[in-house]
Amino acid sequence: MKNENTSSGEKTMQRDALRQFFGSVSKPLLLFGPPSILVGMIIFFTTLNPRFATTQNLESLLRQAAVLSVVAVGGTFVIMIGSIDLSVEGIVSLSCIISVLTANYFSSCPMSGLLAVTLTIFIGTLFGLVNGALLSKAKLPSFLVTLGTMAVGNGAGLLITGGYTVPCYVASFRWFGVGDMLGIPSLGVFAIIMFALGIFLQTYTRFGRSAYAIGGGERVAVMSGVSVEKYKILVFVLAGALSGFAGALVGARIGAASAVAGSGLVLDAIAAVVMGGTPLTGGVGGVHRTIIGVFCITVLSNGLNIIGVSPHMQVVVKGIVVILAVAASVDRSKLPFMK
Amino acid sequence: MVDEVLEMRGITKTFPGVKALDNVSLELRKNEILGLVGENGAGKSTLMKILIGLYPKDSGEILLRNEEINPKNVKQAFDYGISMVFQEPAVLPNIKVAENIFLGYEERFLRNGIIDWEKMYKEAGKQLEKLGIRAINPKAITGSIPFWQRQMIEIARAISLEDVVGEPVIILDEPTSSLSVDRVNLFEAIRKLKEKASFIFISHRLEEVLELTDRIVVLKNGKNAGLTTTNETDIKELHAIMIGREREEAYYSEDQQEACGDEVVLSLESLSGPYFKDVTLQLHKGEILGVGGVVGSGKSFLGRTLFGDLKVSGGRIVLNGKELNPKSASDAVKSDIAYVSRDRHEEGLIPYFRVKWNLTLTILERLLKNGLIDFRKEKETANELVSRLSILTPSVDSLSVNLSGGNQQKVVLGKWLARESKILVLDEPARGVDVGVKAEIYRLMRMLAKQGVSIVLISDELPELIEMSHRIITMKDGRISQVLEAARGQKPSEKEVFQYM
Repeated sequence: MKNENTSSGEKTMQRDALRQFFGSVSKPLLLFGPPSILVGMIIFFTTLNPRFATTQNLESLLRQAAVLSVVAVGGTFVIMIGSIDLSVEGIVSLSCIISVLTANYFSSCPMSGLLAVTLTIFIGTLFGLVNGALLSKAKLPSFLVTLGTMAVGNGAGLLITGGYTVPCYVASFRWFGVGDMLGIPSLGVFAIIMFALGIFLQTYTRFGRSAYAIGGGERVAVMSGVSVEKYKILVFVLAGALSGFAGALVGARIGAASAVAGSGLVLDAIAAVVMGGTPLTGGVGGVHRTIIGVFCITVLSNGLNIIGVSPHMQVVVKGIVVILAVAASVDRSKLPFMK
Repeated sequence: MVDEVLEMRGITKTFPGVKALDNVSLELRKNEILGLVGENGAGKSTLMKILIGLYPKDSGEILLRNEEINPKNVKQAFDYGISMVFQEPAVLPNIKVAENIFLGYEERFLRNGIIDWEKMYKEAGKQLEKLGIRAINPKAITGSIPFWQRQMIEIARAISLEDVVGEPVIILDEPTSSLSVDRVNLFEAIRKLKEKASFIFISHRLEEVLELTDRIVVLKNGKNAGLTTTNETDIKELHAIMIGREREEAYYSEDQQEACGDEVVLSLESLSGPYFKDVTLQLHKGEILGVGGVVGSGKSFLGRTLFGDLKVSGGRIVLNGKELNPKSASDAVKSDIAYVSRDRHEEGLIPYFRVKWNLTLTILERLLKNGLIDFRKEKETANELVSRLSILTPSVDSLSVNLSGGNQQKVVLGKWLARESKILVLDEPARGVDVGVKAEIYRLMRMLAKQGVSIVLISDELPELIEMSHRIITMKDGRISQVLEAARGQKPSEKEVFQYM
């Protein structure tokens, strides 16, 4: 009969053995795993259908990746602190709708696009504040809190549109999604800016360092005087604001207000973050890793499309890939370490 | 004729880069309690892990009751009757006591494929009785019973092998090092079981080894360094064998203890909080105030409450003349109070953080230049601390996980030195750390005290408490029972202090 004696001393021994094994495997795996998967997929899809590697497709790829990028940056910080943000879909959908309606309403004003975007960022921030406060002050689990706010966001969106899509032809707003700056699609520029912002925040600011600390050892952070509550709220505020912005970008890109604008984004965002190399337990990884993860997911979707896999099958494949990726991103932070 | 139940001969074990054990031998006699001591890294854990089936040995033999055995995993070792009881109780909290005792051996109670629970409970009760403990209910959910009882369950599990295998060999690995051990009950249980089993007792606490064991094996640097009969030796001699030179006085740097000033920096007035009541005391500038007490005395809770981690329910804390009401740890930190928890695992340092990040966790706001982290300053600060504390690390960029226990503890202390807090609350600062690092930590405390830093030293180790403190406060059942002077050269004896605990 299987002996399930996992006494702490045996745990120590198992830790040592696991650590020895994973120490030698996980570092190269984390470092080279995701990029090699990406390269592997690119080769795979190009072989099956050379159309994959055309500039046209690459441009399309970049556009597809852009919205996910914005959301994934916020998601990285959330996962970094060991939480999860399911409200992304709700915020994105609601923001998409509100941005389109705002742009339409102020269509005569040249700044209507900017106004719409600012408004949605504001709304996203509010959602983030609620998420953060409930998590931090009321100590409710992030899974439940964000599940709730997602429902609120989605519901509000449906309420406003009644289920119909509303088209938008306002140029100053559409520019955000389909225009370009100096030849580069504006979506791409925004994605790059967000990545840069994310990397900047995580490396150079107290906010970033604290997020790593909270994820790596929340109790230690608390006992070292770090304002953990404050930073948790800020992380969710950031994620909310970015989701809001992403919603506006979706609206600008598809040119319509749709209550399902955010559909599937949560899975993609979490997958991107985790595949990139930020484990769900947090504390390690970062936005620089998420970049690879975003491209992995986008290449996967785009590639499957190009080789003709049905959209439904795509979801199945994505799910399997995500499971494998999560399993492979060894939760080193879960392996206890102290002597 | 001497009866040997276990013999380990010529055990050698090499890990990449280090020879952990070099031709080590050990003999355990029937019904004896054999002490196994040595500094961290001496090889005690490795030797026991080989015995318990976790590591394969490179060479040597293990003879159990004169028959050679070679346990390939823990279950096999268990089937031979060899088991290990660890620092933190290795029991599953969500299942019943009886289930934990017979974990892995449930087949003994199968009747037509279904577990006969009544039989299991009865058997469990029998095992517990062997330990002389009647207070534990075999049907209770393990997570709900007090800590010390969970430790007893592990021992009950080990002794239950008696009915299956004959006389078990039970290894106790630092059983008194964890957070809330009931030493009295534990030692009594062990003494009671002596007639049915043979014990190997590993501990850093030499006073305990001397109290409990019959003979003592000393390991040093992976080799046998000594074997003595317990009642023919003392702490001084054991220390000398363990670390190779006589260090008793220099260990606690008692000669460095200077009288502290009269200035009161921290005053507690009838302070009450979780598990303690009505505590009134004054802490002077440059003083090391020891706080002692057995498990349940409330001393650790007092420390945490000072740091704002627990809520004050009555009385006041007055810091430098001003009333302090820390609502959280960050309040306390801002008021220049530092806290080192006895639980390095959960509250000491962040494992996958670089050393320099852990060291600067408390002073992030001081590292800012134009609102951003100044990396040069960060590295300078970290390097300075590493050198000041002699922290052994490849670089300040290394991951803290990779440091040894003693060096990790230095990092924990380092982050408070970085903050330059004027009041340090230290709860077992030298726990689970080897002798050499312990002495360094004590030297550091002396130096800080001389510089005017005030230290509240909470400790279970009487010699440490007595030697290091200027004054000692003993707590019993949540209240202060006595205040003792402990000036240099006029230290109270352990008996004197213990009577108030």
